[in-house]
Amino acid sequence: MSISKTKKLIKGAFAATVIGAASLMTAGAALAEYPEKPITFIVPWGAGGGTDTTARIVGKLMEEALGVPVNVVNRTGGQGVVGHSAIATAEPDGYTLGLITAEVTMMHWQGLTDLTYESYTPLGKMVGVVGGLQVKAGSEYADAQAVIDAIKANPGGMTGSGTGLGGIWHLNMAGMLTSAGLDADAVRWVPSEGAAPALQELVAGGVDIVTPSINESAAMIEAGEVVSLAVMAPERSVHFPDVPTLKEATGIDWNAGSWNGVAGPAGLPDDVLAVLLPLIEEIQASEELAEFVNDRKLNLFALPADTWSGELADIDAAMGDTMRAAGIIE
Amino acid sequence: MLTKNLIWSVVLMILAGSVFYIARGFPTLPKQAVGAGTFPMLIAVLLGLSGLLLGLSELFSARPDPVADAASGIPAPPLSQSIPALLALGAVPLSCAYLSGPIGFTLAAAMPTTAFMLALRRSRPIQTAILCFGFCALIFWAFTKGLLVPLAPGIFRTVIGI
Amino acid sequence: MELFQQSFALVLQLDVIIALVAGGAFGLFLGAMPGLTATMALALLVPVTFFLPPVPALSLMLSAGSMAIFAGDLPGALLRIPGTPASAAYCEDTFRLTQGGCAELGLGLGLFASVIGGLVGSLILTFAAPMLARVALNFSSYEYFWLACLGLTCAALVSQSTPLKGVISLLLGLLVATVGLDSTTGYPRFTFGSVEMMGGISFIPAMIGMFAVAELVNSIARTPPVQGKPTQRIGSFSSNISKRVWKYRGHATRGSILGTLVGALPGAGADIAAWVSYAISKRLSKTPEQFGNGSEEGIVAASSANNSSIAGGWIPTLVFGIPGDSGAAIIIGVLYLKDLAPGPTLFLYKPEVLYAVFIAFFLANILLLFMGAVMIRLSTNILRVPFSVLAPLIMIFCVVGAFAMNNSYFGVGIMMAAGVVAFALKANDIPVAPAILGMVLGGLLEKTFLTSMVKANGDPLMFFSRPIAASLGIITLALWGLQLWSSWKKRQRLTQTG
Repeated sequence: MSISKTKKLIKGAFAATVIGAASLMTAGAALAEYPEKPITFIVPWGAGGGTDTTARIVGKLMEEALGVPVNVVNRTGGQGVVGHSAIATAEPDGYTLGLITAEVTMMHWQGLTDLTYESYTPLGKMVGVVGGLQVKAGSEYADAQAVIDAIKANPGGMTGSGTGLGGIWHLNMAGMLTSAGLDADAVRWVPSEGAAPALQELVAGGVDIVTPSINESAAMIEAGEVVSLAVMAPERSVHFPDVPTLKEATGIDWNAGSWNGVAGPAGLPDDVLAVLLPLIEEIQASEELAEFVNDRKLNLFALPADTWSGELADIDAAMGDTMRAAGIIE
Repeated sequence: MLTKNLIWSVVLMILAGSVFYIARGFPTLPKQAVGAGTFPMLIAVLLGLSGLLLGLSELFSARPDPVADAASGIPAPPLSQSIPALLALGAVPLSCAYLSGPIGFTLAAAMPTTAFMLALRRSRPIQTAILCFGFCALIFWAFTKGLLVPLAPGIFRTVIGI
Repeated sequence: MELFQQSFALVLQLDVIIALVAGGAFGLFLGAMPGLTATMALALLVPVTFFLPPVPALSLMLSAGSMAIFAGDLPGALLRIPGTPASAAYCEDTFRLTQGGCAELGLGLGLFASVIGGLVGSLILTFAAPMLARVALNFSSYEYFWLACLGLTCAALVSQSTPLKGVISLLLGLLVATVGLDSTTGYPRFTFGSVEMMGGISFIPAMIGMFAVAELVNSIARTPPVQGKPTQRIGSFSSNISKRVWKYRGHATRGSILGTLVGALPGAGADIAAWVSYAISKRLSKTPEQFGNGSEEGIVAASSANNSSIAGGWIPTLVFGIPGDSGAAIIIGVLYLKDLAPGPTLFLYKPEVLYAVFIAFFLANILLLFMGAVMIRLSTNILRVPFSVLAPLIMIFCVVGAFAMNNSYFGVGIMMAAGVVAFALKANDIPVAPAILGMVLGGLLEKTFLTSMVKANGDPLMFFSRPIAASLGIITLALWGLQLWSSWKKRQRLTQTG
């Protein structure tokens, strides 16, 4: 067959299909109810951390209730900016949701991003954790006081990690140091993409101390690789009754913790909210979540969307003051 | 003589230069000398050097690069023969991206695929069209029903009723 | 022991068995098609894994990978065109056997050797990976930095082209990895204001483009279409094949161990494993003149090596997150999708999934014995499917696969761009594999570099402050030094003679 003949045939076939297509186009597509396709659920932190595991369980419960896949996607980097922007800048159609964390009330104070809690539609606060002070198993520091003394003896000589620069666990470290009368950068901060990589770096001997939540360190503590010396909370953790509070151990009065909650981009339509809000409350009350929280040694901080929105405004204002006091922002 | 290696050398050096220029404006970490620009600038320097080396070795080599010679020595089929097929190949993603919305994935994919197959084998147009349409419908069905990838249904849904 | 019970419970599920069989069938088919590689089979399967639980998803990938490598022997024996580059080393030998009327001997030996190679590779993976993970738990950012450097060095130097071109390819890959929001400062780099670019260039669409689209373009534009018609009859297997395999057990064992080691080396995959094993067997053989003329020793040695390299490639992938070859680079993408971030902590947190994967490796290779035998029977028919029919269908699959990554046609755009770039690279004899490794490892390299710089307070000597880091660093620098010195020598020799 010659080339020109083939060309004619292709042209013919193309024309026929186009005409066929055009005549059928008038039919149009039917309007479907939310949700009709998979939902992307964005986690701004790395796989294996506390935020990530929460997102996985919430995602699983949503998937079961909604009957469409809920794909949990880790969008790490930029100290949480990448993932948080991905949620805020997504199309507000209910097909991109995510878990926002305490960093939302911090990042804009540091000038990292323009995003605030107002860039989101809050759907429900979920799980929280409290700060801790962890060292490698078998390290020279027997208790929190020994760590503080070592920092005092050698300011700027030790390294610490736990999250990105200016993240909540960096604030935890800086707050502990300033409350102890030290410089905020008396321990050199090594940025990491969340608690899990920081703990790995600690176990490998790459940093001296880490200050992520004690809850996220649970797996490493149980594996016997890491020892927690103190929790930054008014009371001891129910999951770790043997670990003293920072005040008990050193007399330093400093508390820090983080939380996360489900949110979508600002301006989610009402039909989407009508599906999601009751569902989130159902998940908050579910036995699976309670069991999961207990298993993972986290704390349940369930709040419905409206209460949480009010709380967010307060936290946001308070965070600015704390960060200034801790010397993280000027 | 302007060989392929020389063209690549120039392209790489221009690329490296522009990357370096853009990356200079990236912020650094507070109180640190390193930052967002450090790594790209490092890569740009190495890329520029490699490009330079490629060009120099081409210009001053004692004898021409044997590999390049061998590659150009293989008689390739005349390009005119493969142009229709290559155009059809390029049409597949374009058609899927721009026509899926109005006419649905199955048709938008089947048309350029048919053209592609005909451009390659130039025989049996009817069978080809049927094969392509069937395959695209199968893909559509498997991905939307089985894997829940939201390919545009378009008119296919109204015709078949799923 | 409890761990093994848990793992067995994870593997002995219907969906895992289906995944193994289906992945195997897909791999066998694509591997048998000249011009379609094992890596392409893996890239095309990624979208399917989005919707599977972790163990079936990984089973699908490992089964397809293992079987595609064997299937590459089929067109080699029947048409004298290796189905995948990994079968090129001994293609001549199997074809000679076919010409001599012993097609079933060549293919049967290849099949048995492949199964042995796969099983030995799986065994080494099962025992070596957890031990290495124990060591890797003590790796800080310095060690990871040097490990990534060493991996990329191997990838650039091992590539078949000149080392300089390997380095260029590598640097281009690293550059692509920097696109998107920076992980330490959150600054958007090279995004040119596009929100979609902020997330970076996701490498699965890029990989589909580089391995599938570029190959299609290459086949259409550069090589004259080969339309082979396999007409040879394949005789029946008999017990004498297993007898012959027993005779060459030494070659099979040596090939398997060698293949696993080469596979574990970043950048070196099944094709290099086969060539190395073939060459060593030839050197040690009492009848080296047979090699290239239907040497059974050569077939066994190389065929076991290329299959064992698949399991070998998974070792650094799981333990360090550093892929052993481009196929393993795709596996890394799947691991992240499945909440199994590779690294030594994976062995602490999810050991049952890992052991389930190891068990699946054994099952896949046992399945290969049966499915491979069926495939040999069917091969004369399957090889009649012409490229002209296959190419358009694969193209559609590529488009849908790239779309499914984020349910957006942006991925398709990345795929096409990557395809064009890969074609341009290949046309200039610049290898593609280092670029892929650069893209995958770029993030790790930059992150560990910056972390180490902060920890070291700008003192470069700190990169050598820990024993393992220092050794890895010195090895890396020595490799580069050696390479520079040898090219300098070569150049001098050339100028003297010329």
